Amino acid sequence: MSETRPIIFVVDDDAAMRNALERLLRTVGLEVQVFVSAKAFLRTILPDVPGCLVLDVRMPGLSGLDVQRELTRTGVDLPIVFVTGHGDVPMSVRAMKAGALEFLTKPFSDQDLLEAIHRGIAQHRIARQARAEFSALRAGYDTLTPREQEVFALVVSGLPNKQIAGKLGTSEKTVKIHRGQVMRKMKAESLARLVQMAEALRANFPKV
Amino acid sequence: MQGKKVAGASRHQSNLGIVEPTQQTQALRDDLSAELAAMTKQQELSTSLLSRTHLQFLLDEILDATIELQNADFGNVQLYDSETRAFEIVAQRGFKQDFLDYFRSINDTAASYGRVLVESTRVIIEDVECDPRFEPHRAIAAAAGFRAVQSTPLFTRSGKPLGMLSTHFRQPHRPSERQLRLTDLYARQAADMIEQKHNENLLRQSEERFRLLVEAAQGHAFFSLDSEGRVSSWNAGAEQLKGYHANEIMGQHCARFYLREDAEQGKPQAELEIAAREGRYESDGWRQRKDGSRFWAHIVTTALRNSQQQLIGFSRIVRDLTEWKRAEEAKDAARKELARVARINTLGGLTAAIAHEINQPLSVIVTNINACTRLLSTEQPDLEEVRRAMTDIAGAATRASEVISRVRAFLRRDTVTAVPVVMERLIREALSHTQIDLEKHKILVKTELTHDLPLVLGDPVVLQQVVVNLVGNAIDAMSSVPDHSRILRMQLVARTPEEVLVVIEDSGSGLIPQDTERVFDPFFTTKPGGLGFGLPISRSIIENHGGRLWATSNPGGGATFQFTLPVAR
Repeated sequence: MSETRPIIFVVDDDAAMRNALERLLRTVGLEVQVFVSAKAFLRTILPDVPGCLVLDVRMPGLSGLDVQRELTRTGVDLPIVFVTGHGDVPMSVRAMKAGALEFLTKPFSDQDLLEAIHRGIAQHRIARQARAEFSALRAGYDTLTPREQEVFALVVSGLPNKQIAGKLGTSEKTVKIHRGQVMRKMKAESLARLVQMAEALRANFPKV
Repeated sequence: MQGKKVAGASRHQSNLGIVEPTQQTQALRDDLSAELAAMTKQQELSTSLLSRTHLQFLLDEILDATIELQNADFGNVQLYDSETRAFEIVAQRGFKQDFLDYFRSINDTAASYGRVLVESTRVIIEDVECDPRFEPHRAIAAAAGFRAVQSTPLFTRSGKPLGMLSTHFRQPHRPSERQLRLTDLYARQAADMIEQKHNENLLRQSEERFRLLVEAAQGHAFFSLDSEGRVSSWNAGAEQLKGYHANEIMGQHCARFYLREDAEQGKPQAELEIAAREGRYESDGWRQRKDGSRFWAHIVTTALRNSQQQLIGFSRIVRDLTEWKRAEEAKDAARKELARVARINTLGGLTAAIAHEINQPLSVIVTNINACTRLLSTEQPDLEEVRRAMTDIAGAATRASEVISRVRAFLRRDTVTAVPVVMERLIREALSHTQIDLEKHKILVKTELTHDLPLVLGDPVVLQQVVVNLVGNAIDAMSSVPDHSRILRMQLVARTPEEVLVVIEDSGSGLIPQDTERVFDPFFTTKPGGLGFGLPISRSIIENHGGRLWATSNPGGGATFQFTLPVAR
């Protein structure tokens, strides 16, 4: 996944600023997509790659903060670097509290911007990877039969096969077979790994 | 009635000749002596009534006297409670307990007794066995052993029912008119006594309530001082507020409540002297408690004089206003801050807008230069891209200079609104806007505003802002000089037929000659926290109106700011 080339999204209503940012980011080898307004950006279906959003706070129509709110609402975890022409403290506090990565006052130094962008990409990569791992776990879990899911829950709670058989009213041998299926389908090489998987699943999926 | 019979008999006797004078005289003498005895009794009664204080005793005396007067066998006095509408036997002679219990339970609608009050007249039942009015109570009357009843109502002087005075007889009977007339006198006496007693009780209760109120008053110290200023009474509030118990403070001089420096300056004595001279003295100031802690006190001192107008001491009410003072100070600070913010608000908004407008092209320039630097440091620089960046930089720089021109044009906007303005009214309104500040700083305002001057053409809002700003500066300039010498002189005159002149002269710290022009430079300020923009903006406003604004230093101290405005044509 890390070989996927990240994309930097730049949203600024000022054409000169958009051009300057695009030029700077391309110069350092980053792929850039620019948008003339918040609306144009939100309309776009984002490619499934790691990235970072460079967002002007003050724009006609929807503001940068509106974009941040909308992304949060739709579950898009793209890190945001805000830039503003006027250092407005309450506004920056609001943006940072809502999870912004950085808040830069124009004119900003290119080091500050690039450092923030790289940090954003790294953060997005980690988030994406965690999400991918969880999806794989979820997919594996969904292939389990209802009986296997029951056995899974009891196995990771630390019960030996004999007791699991007692609880489920079946033979120890049957439990052993189910258990083997669970380990295979979940691609778990050990009981310890299976317990880890159960925890990861429970964190996002309490039914397990 | 009896007297008449006697008289009739005498007249009859008179026909018999010689005996007539003697008999008549004798009858008259008897009559008069009886009357005299009754009057004497009543006189005795009233003196005894006056000398006693116990109501029960008074009522017993009256009842005994009435029974004696009417030759009655029993008697009682019932008081009427207007709230519960019930009678209570408060004095009685000759009744057994069961009768008392029975009558305790009757109310005013049930018995003939009630009629006494309802009809406000005496009721006489000559024979309880025959009189239908007494029918419901016959059994109890029989048990108590009486056949006849007389009840006389008792009223206050204002006519409110108090109760009744009743006598009872073992045999059917009707008291004589004379007896009844005297009974009325007794009843009047009794009613007066009851009323007086009642009023005394009310007075005592009221005094008691007042005493409790004074003693319990929270946060208020009530105490009195003798004519020398020594504590002569002390309430619980005083103990609470000042921390001294009455035992330890009685007889001590009030100087100990003052701060040491105030006491040393003779303030305690001086305040008492003012109170003695003027009757009453109110003041605010710091006082200290027993533990040395301070509080901001509001003190009312009232001189106490006896009937010969000699000073016998002082009463003092002290309230702790520390919290109030703190709140006032906080409010004052907030008001000042608000005024300051209001004065720089327009400017603040302006600078924010300018900053945003300028930062945008600056940011474009910086970002492009950074990109160029990186481009040029690669092995095969994309010079075409560098050239495009340079074009963008030039564009952004041009844009920045356009922003500056726009701002300047905005500040110079020639006539935003130009309406006829009455300068006299404008100045008065500006003064009323700054009144709180002027009063706060104890500044004496002297106005010499010429009436009916020609109108000025301009924007009243910004012109007023200029006046408010100049008054504000004057207030600030005078904060460093003593209260009594703070004078603001506002003058409005026609300088020429074409120009009006507004003069704002303060008695503040003044200006050094080289500063009279520098004060109009942006960022020049002598005030901490000031922005230094007020005067340059005021000047540009006046100049946009075709006038001039300048400052001079007064020979006697202080500064004068004046501006001219052309009159409307």
